Amino acid sequence: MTATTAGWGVELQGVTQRFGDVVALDDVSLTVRPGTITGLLGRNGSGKSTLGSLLAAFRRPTAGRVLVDGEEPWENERVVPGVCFVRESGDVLDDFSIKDNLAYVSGARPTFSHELAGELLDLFELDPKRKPGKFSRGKKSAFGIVLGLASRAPLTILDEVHLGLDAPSRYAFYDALLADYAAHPRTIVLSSHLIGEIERLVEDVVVLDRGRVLVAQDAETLRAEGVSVTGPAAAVEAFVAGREVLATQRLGGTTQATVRGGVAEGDVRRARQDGLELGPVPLQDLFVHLTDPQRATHVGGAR
Amino acid sequence: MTATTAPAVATRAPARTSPTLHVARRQGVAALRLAAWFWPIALLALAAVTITAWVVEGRVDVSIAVHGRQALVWFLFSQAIQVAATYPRVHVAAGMTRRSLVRGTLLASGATGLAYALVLTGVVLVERWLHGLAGWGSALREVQLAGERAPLWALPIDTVVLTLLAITTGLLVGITYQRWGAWATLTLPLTVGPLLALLFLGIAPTGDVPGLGDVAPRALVGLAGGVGALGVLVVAAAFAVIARRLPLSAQA
Repeated sequence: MTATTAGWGVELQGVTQRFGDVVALDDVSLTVRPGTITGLLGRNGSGKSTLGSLLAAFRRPTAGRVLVDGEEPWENERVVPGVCFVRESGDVLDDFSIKDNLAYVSGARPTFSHELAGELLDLFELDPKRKPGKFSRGKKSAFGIVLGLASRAPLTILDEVHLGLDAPSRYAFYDALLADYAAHPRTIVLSSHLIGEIERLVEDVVVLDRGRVLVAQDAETLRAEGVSVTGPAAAVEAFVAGREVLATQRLGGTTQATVRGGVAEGDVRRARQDGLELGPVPLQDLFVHLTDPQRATHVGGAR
Repeated sequence: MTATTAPAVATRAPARTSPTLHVARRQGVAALRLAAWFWPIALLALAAVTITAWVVEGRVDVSIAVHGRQALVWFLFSQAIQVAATYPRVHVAAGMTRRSLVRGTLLASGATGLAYALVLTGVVLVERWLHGLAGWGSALREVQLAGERAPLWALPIDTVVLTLLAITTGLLVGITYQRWGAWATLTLPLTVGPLLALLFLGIAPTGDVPGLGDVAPRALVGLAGGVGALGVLVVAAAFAVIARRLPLSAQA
């Protein structure tokens, strides 16, 4: 393994994870392409953290196989140094300084970059002499990000790691993530509720719902499954009549509606004539629609 | 992205060592920091008790330092519980296996137990010398092996068995709570039992145990040391078995 690795792929084969009576993951089969940023989306309790913990060898699945770069990660001396699972709460030595924590992690990670760690500490204004146990939620999140990015692990899983950050820090994180990913391509799984913010980052999307995979496909294909229509309210309503409307927003006399399904060439011409703008479907709207508990049937994607 | 100030951390990447040695070194450094607090406080307490006993009794004919073994044992026991409770999650999250955690922890624990035992032995010897200058005796009580008939080297053996058992017992207690939560309380008689038994035996030196009174001192040291070492190995093995299979929650 080298610092310039293009990342490791992931394959789950019929994975089930139970906690007593609770089924956190239910017969999940899934592939994550190496060298991509995959958005892992799902409501609370959908199984996102459990999936990450299996990839990082925090536990073994109740049933099925988890493969990281072709091998099971549990107690695998080759694989585990290349898997970095960072959670918002942080798995760090709370009573030791940042400097000590970095020494602990960097000694175990062959791809760790002290240079990037130093830059990120400066970016998030973290004092290396301070102890994580005394940090605010935002600073804890920031330190998790420092560890997650500076590790440059071939498989990096960032589980809601940036939720504690304020907006400027989150956007600084997105920029840092993209910049380092471009310079050092690897596989990144980014779990977040802030879908609107991470939408521009992700190349693939996995949507989990109640332990099952609803959707697993590339973001462009997913966005092409619908269209957003923006324009005068009356014209929009006329255009979407008879279509599956996922979401509607109104501002004064202007309406934006998100509809599911493709749009024929004739419809595109008609939309232009009516003064409507057509755009890609926001992932947020698709996500809310797909994970709506009122929906009777599941759609698309791998199971 | 650019940094507005110089990086706060050195940019030179360290040479990668084996995970086991890496863990042992990091835990060893942490133990050294704690020892730097423990021993000055322990020596101050030793001096205070000795002076108090001298003022009250007029002379001090027993080793106060050896009585301090109780504090040492429970300090190491608590320290080991903290290690077992803290490190597994951090260790696996840092990209290392439970195997290297077990090996590194036992390596650091062994070194820590040995170091504390040797330091305590040194303190006892210095104390004995000081007592000699004052014209006092320095009888050893609450020890199994290092009585009047035992050779001098019995004391470090006696002490190291106790420190190692205190640490491994702490590791075992800590890891059982990590594994089974509050239910681990039910296992305390098994997990802490060996340490309590050894401490209880300390009140009745091994030479007083029926059937062992006529055993030669050197053989007695070997016998009791061997039994103690076996106990340490059994407790350490139990810790290793549980730690190697420890699942870590996805929740913090």
